[in-house]
Amino acid sequence: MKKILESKNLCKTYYSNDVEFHALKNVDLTINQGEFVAIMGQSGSGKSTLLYTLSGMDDITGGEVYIKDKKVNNLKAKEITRIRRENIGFIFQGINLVSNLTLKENVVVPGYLATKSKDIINKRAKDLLSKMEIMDQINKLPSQVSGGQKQRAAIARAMINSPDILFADEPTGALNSSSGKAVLDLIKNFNEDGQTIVMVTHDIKSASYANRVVFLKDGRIEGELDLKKYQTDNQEKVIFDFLSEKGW
Amino acid sequence: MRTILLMVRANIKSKILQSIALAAVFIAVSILFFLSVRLFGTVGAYEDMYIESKTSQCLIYVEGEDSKDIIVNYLENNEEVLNINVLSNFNNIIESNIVQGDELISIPDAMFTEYSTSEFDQIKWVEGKTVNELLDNEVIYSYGKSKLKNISVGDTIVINTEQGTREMIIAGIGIDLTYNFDTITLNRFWTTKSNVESLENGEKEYSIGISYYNYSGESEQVILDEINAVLGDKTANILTVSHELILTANSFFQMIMGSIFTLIGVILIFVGLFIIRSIVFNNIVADSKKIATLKSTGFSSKNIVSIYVLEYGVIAFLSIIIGGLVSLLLSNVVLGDLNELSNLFGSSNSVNIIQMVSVLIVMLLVIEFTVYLAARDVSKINPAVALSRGEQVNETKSTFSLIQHKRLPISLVLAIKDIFYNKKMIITLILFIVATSFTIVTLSSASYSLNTQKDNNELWLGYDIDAKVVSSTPLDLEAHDNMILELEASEYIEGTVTVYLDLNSQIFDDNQEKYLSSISEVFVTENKEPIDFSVLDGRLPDNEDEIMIAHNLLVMLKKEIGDYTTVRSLGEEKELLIVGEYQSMANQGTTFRLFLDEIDDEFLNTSLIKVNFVEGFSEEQMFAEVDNLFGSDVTLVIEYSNASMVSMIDVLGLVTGGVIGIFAVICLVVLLNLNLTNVYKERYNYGIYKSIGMDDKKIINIYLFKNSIINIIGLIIGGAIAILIVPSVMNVITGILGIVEFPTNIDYLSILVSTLIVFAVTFINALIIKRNVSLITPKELLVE
Ligand SMILES: Nc1ncnc2c1ncn2[C@@H]1O[C@H](COP(=O)(O)OP(=O)(O)O)[C@@H](O)[C@H]1O
Ligand SMILES: [Mg+2]
Repeated sequence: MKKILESKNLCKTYYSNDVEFHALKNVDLTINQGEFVAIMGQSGSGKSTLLYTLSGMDDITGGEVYIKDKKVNNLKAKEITRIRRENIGFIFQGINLVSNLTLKENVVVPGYLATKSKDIINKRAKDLLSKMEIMDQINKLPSQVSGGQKQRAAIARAMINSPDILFADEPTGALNSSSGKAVLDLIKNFNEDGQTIVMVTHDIKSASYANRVVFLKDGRIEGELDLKKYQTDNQEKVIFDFLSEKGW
Repeated sequence: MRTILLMVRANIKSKILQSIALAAVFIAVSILFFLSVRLFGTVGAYEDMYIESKTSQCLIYVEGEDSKDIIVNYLENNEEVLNINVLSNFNNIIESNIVQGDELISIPDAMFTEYSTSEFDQIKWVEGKTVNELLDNEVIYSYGKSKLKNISVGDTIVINTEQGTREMIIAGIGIDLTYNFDTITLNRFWTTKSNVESLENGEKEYSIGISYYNYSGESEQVILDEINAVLGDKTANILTVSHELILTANSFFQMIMGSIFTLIGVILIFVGLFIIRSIVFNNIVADSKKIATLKSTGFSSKNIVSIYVLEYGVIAFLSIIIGGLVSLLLSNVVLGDLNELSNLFGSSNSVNIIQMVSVLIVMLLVIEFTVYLAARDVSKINPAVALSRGEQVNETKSTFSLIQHKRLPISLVLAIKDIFYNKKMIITLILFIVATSFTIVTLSSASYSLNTQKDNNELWLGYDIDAKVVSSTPLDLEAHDNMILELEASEYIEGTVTVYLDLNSQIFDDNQEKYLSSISEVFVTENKEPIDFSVLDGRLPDNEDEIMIAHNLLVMLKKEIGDYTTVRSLGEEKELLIVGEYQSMANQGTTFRLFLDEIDDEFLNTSLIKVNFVEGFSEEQMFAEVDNLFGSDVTLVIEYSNASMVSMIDVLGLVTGGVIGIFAVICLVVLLNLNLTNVYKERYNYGIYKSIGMDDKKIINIYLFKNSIINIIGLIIGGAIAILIVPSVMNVITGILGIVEFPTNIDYLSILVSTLIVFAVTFINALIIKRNVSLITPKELLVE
């Protein structure tokens, strides 16, 4: 199996008012191509911090992060921008669409940034948006559609440049349970087509869509669970037992 | 209340850069405001000094003891006359020059007047000797004129009279209280009675100053008419400068300065308030999440509005005080010249505390009211909506599609989308740039046009001449004609004309059924062609039965070309056919022109031969030519269109420079302000752009594209309005002076200047904003 994302001794320390806070402590994590990894942990355990540092959205204070064997930490602004544009896609809990662009425009902008051929991007955006089943909404502004529809557009935006890794930070956090389930099904679909996915969640149901669970506690990896070994129908129970054992 | 104060402090602290930028706007606006108020204050001081004062209001210059006695006798028995100030006067001067080293400064139409120390006197001492200290051959000269011509205490004036040459020393400087703008005055030198008398030979001359109990134009006219009546055939011996005439001449300066300052003031007030409004509005939009949180915890809209009102109140209060202090420094250092001009009004430079405090209070109230109006939008913020969406979103559907414009750079397309999205903000910015470019182009063009016409005698006088020829001995008709023959024979002289100005002329007004006092210009010339007489409409008179009337007078009389009119001129009453109209600045465009075949002996002595030299002939060459023709008996005096006009133009140039500078600064701080609030508001979007792989450069490019589009639209609109409006504005202003058709030139350089200022400001802002943008990280998008 080909490894696509790797962190070695990853540390992240926040300094505020002369107080040091170690949000991540020597995290070693390897993710292979095609995996769907769920990062779990209690609130404040460092899940989001891990996701932001792995994806190059935030800088790190120690260790190394590699995407496709390329070191991505401590890069120049220009290079980190390239990585955001070409290697990763990001789905936020807060959705974060640009409010004065229509859904479709939100989707194409990163594509336009990365590629010269805008026709190809327009076509790909259309494919993605129809896959997301929001073709009838694409000319609306984010404020004119529902939360679930916005998050689908955000997923299409994250996928527009066919990223090596799709990161998602509590993608269903802002949604009701039925639209949450639909969004997770869509993400799972991409994974079934071979897309590598790293998703943060504190919800066992969401985690059951993944094929590996990484449990984070106080900025350290406390354990990992390979879900492929278990039957699909009792995965939620398996995760629950695993978490209970690790001190959830 | 305590909570609110705490919030205010926290708000100012958390937005320190914006607060400073906003303070800078207030400071800049208050500086301009204070400066204008101070200038208006000096204009106000003029009111007290000239309109309310009982200084000799009307002046009658009279020749001969008998005539003087008749006038004084009449005035003493008139109940409306408060005081009669009879002073010895001498103006029988052929030529006078002030000597400064090798330099000769010509002083046309100089006169020497006795200085009396009564409260009705016409001079206010400024420097050097006062009248009581004057020795033989010492004089006092006007402050404004001395500034204009660079003359100072200690300079010598050399005067040529029929008895020979005399030298006098300028021992003191004073302000002429007859005119509010000292440079408009006659070239009067004040001196002791004995000095005036020592100049005299033959007939005595007097200047009679009249002060009225209650001045009115009509009663003055009655008095002057009656004086003419009692004088009978001696009317030719007097020259009257009525109070009405002085007041119109005085309004000249105020009108031009007044219109400029009113224009700038109105623009600033509107733009200023609009900007404050939109800054506050933008802040509220940017703060909507915070406001929603406050609301959800129980703050009322009223509480929140009072936070804003207090917050901006504190910033405005401090800024206005700083602005006031800076304006004091500025008016004394940078605008020193302008200050000196206010001295010409005779006002002092002392700071008027009450004035400053009232300006402060008024500005504060206006700003607070604007903030209050804008902050009322707080009530529209719905906690649920604002908190869940992160910001209050404009629900209008976007019209500009990104997808269709896929060939344009992405930053440009996003910039255009932003423009459609933020209409309110964009309109504010455009309006501001329109105001900036309009003011700069208008003022520069006015100043430039006046400057290019500075030496255009043809425009200001209504005919084209370069100089007048003055003989040291009185000429009889034959000698006069011979002189003209010789002048005309010179290949360097295009033409000559003999001019007599009858200042005691009258013209009958059919509407009011009475005579109006006027000035007639009487011309005698063989060949009118080379003198280029102004003809607005109709033609020049062909014979002595025809008349030409200046535009403003013709309008006043409600007459047309082809009508007949009755005039009194050269001591006769005549009915004449109006054949044309012309423009000239003399007497505010209320003169008339007669063309005679020959001038009467009686008037020959006081008439002048004026000459027009060939194009491109320098002044030295002109002097040499006249010297070559006549030797030292005849001198040449260069004709300057109007000293007050020239000083006016200098003032305008100064004001224009100052205003452009101030606008550049205001432009910088205002745009920086609006842009900073915008970055603050856009922070969230910029974070998203960064997370999807947009670099700082592209984000700054969105800003640059957006502002360039705004700049270009604003400059085009502002420039176009200015270009369209300036000629008519100039025609209105100069029309009141008698020049209805003024050749206005657009100062295209000023369009370039405003473009440079606006774009320089954009780029400076971009540099500042760049720092802010680079600090934004996608991590801010994280939801806790
Ligand atoms: N900018 C910051 N400054 C200081 N501490 C922070 C900052 N961001 C996060 N933290 C702290 O780091 C820890 C991990 O945060 P986070 O990664 O957001 O946790 P999670 O997503 O698991 O809830 C928390 O205790 C949080 O308080
Ligand atoms: Mg989190």
